[in-house]
Amino acid sequence: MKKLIVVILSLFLALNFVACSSKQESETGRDANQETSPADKFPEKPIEVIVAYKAGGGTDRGARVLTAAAQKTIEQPLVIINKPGADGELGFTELVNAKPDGYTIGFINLPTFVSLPLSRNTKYTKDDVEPLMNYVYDAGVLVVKADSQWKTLEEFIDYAKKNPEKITISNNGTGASNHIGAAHLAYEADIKVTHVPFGGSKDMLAALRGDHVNATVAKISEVANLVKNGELRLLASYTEERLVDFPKVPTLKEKGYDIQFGSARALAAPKGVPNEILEKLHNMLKETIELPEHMEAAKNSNLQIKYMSPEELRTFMDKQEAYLKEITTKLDLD
Amino acid sequence: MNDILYGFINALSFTNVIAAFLSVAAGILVGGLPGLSAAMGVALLIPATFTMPTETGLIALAGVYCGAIFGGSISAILIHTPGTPAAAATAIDGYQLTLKGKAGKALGTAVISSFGGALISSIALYFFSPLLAKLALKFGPAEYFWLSIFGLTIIAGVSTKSIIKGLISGTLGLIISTIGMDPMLGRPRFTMGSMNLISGVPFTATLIGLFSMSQVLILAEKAIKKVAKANDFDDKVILSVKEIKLLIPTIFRSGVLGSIIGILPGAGATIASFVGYNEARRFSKNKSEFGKGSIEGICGAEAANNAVTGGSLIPTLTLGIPGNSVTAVLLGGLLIKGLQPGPDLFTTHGKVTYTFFAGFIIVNIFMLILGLFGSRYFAKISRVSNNYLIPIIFALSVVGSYSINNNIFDVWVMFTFGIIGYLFKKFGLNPAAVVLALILGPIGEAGLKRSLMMNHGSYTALFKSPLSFILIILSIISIFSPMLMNKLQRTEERVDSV
Amino acid sequence: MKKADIKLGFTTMGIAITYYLLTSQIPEKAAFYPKFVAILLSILSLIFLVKTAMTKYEDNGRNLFEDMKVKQYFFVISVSFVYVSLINILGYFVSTFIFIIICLLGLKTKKLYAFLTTIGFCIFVFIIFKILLRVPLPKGFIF
Repeated sequence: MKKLIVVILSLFLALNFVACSSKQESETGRDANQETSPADKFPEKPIEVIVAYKAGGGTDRGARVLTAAAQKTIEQPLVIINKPGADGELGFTELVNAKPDGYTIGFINLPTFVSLPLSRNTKYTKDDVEPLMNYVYDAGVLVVKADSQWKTLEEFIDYAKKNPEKITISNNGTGASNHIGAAHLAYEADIKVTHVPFGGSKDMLAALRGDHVNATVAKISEVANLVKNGELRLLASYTEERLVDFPKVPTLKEKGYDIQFGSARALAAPKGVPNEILEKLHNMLKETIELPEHMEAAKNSNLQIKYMSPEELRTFMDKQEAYLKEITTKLDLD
Repeated sequence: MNDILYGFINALSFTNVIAAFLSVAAGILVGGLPGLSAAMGVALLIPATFTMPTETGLIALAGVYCGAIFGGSISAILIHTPGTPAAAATAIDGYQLTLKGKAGKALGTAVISSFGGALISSIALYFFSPLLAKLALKFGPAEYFWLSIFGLTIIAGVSTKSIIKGLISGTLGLIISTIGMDPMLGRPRFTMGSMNLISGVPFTATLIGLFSMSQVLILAEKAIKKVAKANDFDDKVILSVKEIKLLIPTIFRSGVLGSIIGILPGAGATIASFVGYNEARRFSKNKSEFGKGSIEGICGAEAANNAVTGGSLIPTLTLGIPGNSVTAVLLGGLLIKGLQPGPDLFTTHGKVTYTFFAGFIIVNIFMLILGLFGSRYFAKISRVSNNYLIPIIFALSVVGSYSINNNIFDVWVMFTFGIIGYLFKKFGLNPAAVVLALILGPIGEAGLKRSLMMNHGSYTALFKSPLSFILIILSIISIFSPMLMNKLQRTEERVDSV
Repeated sequence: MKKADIKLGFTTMGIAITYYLLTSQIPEKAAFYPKFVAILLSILSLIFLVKTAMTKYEDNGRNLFEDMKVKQYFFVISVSFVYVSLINILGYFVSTFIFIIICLLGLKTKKLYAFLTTIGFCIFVFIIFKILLRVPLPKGFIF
């Protein structure tokens, strides 16, 4: 009896392997066919979406909102592959090295994707990807506690002028986006402040909430709830126009400091994907984010959706690179 | 208050109850197999929780944790081999009872005491964690610096065999923790040019190596023998009312002690079980029975080591400082789920947190049921022979280390630390101290540098707040705790010679 | 134990010194803390060595690795090593299948049990991790 079971099981297993390998073959076979008529049938299998951060992080949760909505518009599922490590460099490198057939795309986080190659020797460059579209744009804001002595930006800057280096501003890491934002403001306003780096944006905010630092530069999605419940106060936003949800908060621009910055999360494909497929991907993704269900889900998850076309996104990335190159030479970020 | 109630209702949903049941069963199995520890079980489960809803994932982790701590006592009682180090004190009296043919009574005592201890610690969890969480924002860079110093001083205390070896282990852990990006300047240190090491040595893979794979190697170097046959037993697992009455004061005492020891960073279930055992003897009316099969002895040890589970969750959830290696892994799971320790867990994420707490209680109810009715069957499994364990543990370690970051590099890290962990065990060094240092080292370094930075290089900032003072005093007390531990160790040795 | 402890003390001392020398490669500001840790380890190693030299051990002659089954140990280590090396080529399931069965047979498990365990384990991992929990597993060129 036992022998029989063994025989059956091993047969089953053997069949399994054969079945799998033949499936594999047919897939590669299909790949070959695609060379002739690539875009028509796309997508024929699940599309992998590389997220360069941990499952459960901000980027990941945003990505999952998008992929869930995509089930309605794309016949094949979008599968999230988390490749965290080295501030995202591991995942970005994986993305640019992926097979350019449209079945692997990924999230690129800006400015990180552009700033990493400027600050160290990365194994990818900004131009190794084909931009698909921008998904989220999270504006920078200057924030203090609600019981802070500074009610306006002017008071804040006045105090800083009279007391150089006295004000402490927490950020999410030396040279990270919020540090650049704070340092740029200090440069433009000609004030001296003390920057204190923390391990991430959550720690950076906890330091402000626990009164260990005086102010912080954060992204609006991270502080929106805390501002609404009266714990924190916004002094200014790093935007062209006032924030829709906080119309009373002035922009830095109207106060005479022309600084705009924020973090964006965009979708991109590795370089070399055929144009027809890129276009198809872009159209499918655009359709997805325009779904009412998606907009609803995004709102619930505090995602600030901002669509940009591939061309707009490319220009945005180029501008960001130019800005970072210029500003990092001006600012002393150590 | 609403969140607390919501938590109970949500925890009773079908998925959560199933998760609680299965994870406790898995935990008891892991704990029951000699050589497999709770930390390992939790580490292997983390990737599996990725796709679960947050609260379900957390309940499953708690299930494995609680189940494993109890499961260790089954093999301790039946074959005199503690399944986990925390069950060593249970083995003393438990095995004596087995020899007398009263294994059922011993198991019954163990499961009821474990349940009681865990229940007491869950009260501590409900009561203290929101309070400590509010305090968490008061912890600034200076306080975190002192907290890490306090945690590191405890290494000296927990290293019962040799204090200096414990300290060396901790320092080696500090060295490993400096690999990767400098926490303040963002400069890579000791990364050997590898992109994979920029974010530091992958933590969970390191842990799986130190605890699971090293165990594979320990098993591999020993002659494979047919594992001792567990004694069969026919007496009932259910205790009489009189016996339960006798145990209640001990459960209460050990439960409170275990919860407190659990809160302290660095001390864990092993320490708690010996403290609980000793205190049970000190207060017992039948001191002479200890070592000869006292149910109070089993109770003292088991209630204490299971009370550590709830206690150790308190600093993990509120300050982000895990008390031991199991909660260190659990913290990783929490962060993966996007939950940051601190006050938000009890406000913004209150629903998830309180579901988890309610799940913690449900998990322990399942532990009670499975323990009372399933011990017989779990006992059989605790006899799986090593030749099966070796390849299976290793193959599971590979899954566990790979799937966290989806990276084969992490598997090699696990492999390397498996060999390091093996050598550690051979030379009497303490892998748990390494883990503690891996967590506390960067917190301390960053805390010190930040606090200097914020105060323009002045060291006075370190001594400003009352919290800092409390932590400094605690550290001083803890430095002198080895003397206390020496006392404990003597009883342990006496016990070993039984 | 004494010999082993002395070896251990010298090893950790060696680690401390090597580590200290390595800190010269990183920027001054970032090297302060590692240097401190290196000095701490060397002091601890020194205390440990002195203490060991002064203590009398009862089991002086015993070797730590005396009871070791050398062949079996290195068999497990090398099979594991080959296993991890092959994962990216063969994928998790194929390489795990091969690893477990070789390991079990090498540890003198009865053939039938070895075979059943291997298949059982693979099916278990496939169902639990791949289907139920959808945990990412290493993929190879084949499966």
